[in-house]
Amino acid sequence: MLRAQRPRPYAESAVLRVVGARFVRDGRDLAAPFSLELGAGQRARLEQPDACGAMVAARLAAAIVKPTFGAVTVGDFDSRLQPAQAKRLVGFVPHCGFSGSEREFAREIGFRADVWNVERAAMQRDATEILRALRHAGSCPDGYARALALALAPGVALAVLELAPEGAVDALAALRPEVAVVATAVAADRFAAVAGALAESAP
Amino acid sequence: MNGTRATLAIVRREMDAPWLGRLGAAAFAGLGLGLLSSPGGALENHLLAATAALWFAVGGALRVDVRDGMYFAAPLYGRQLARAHALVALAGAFALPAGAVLGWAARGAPGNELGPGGFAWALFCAAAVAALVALSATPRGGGARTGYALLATGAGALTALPALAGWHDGTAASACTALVIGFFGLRAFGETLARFDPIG
Repeated sequence: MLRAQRPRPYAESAVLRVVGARFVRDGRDLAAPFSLELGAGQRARLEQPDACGAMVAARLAAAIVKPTFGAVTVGDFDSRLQPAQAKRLVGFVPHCGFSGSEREFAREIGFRADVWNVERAAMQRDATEILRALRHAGSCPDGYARALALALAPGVALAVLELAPEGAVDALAALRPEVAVVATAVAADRFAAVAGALAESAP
Repeated sequence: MNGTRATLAIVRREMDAPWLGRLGAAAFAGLGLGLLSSPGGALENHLLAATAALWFAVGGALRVDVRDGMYFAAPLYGRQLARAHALVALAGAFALPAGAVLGWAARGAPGNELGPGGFAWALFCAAAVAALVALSATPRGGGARTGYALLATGAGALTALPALAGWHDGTAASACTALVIGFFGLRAFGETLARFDPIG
């Protein structure tokens, strides 16, 4: 007997699928539209024309904001329909990192363990190990390393690095090779254009 | 996901040292109002207590930091966030009425304040409604924020009105009003959070 089957145009193992994601506010795209498919352990760098675009693209990929057009799926979960399930798989690292004290860092680990519903002691151990390794590598600023440790400790499948500093992606890949990584950045030619304009306007 | 564990985690995070300081200040203000209330002027006492309770309830709810990016990156539903923030706002809003009740009790206040149909119940209801409606102002800015703060104050005043006016069963009317407005206020806040897109 023939049975109708849903077509599966994408690989089953994709951790993140973004199809024509756009975020529109007041009739204007805040980030350049993008599509992307990432499996476990794969990495992608998303370049945007400006910092606002890079921040919005990171939030789209991390299921924090919902796309106005297009779709974002993390694991099997659509960011619009099942945002909580999608975000459970994502570790989001904000561009500002984590600026609190050591005590606040420990408290934040406890908070995230409760919210992600994982064992506190295990999460504390994982976060400490990740942070020690990142500090040993010395590849990113301490505040960003702490934010990275907080994001990875719940055992996520996808890490989204907003305006990631140089070396952060490589350090992360060395620590957790199974985690898919999306890093957003401002396009280098845009930096050059702004620097050129500043140089011309200088007295 | 464990909803209760996450909710309690958010509540603990929000109830930090500055919040506890404001809670203490509100409770002391309420205690002072209760102790210093004039023996013969029930209406003046009630008006003063209601005004102070609404002020602290709305002000406290507006300070709740719902825009913290961490909450939106965490695997939480809008309704979970709304419930947790509502618990924090309600606990803050009840500080002044609780202090006032203690003050009235210490002065041996008559039954029109502490009895089964006393004004104290209406005061709690009004503070709760003001806090729950004011929460919808927190993700907003500018005129919308001011508008919601005024709406919250008006809703709280409307809740206290039957008891202030001395209607028969005024406290029961205040409680019914609080149930209806509070339910819709909390629901509207949950929907606002579910739709909120934190950028920048």
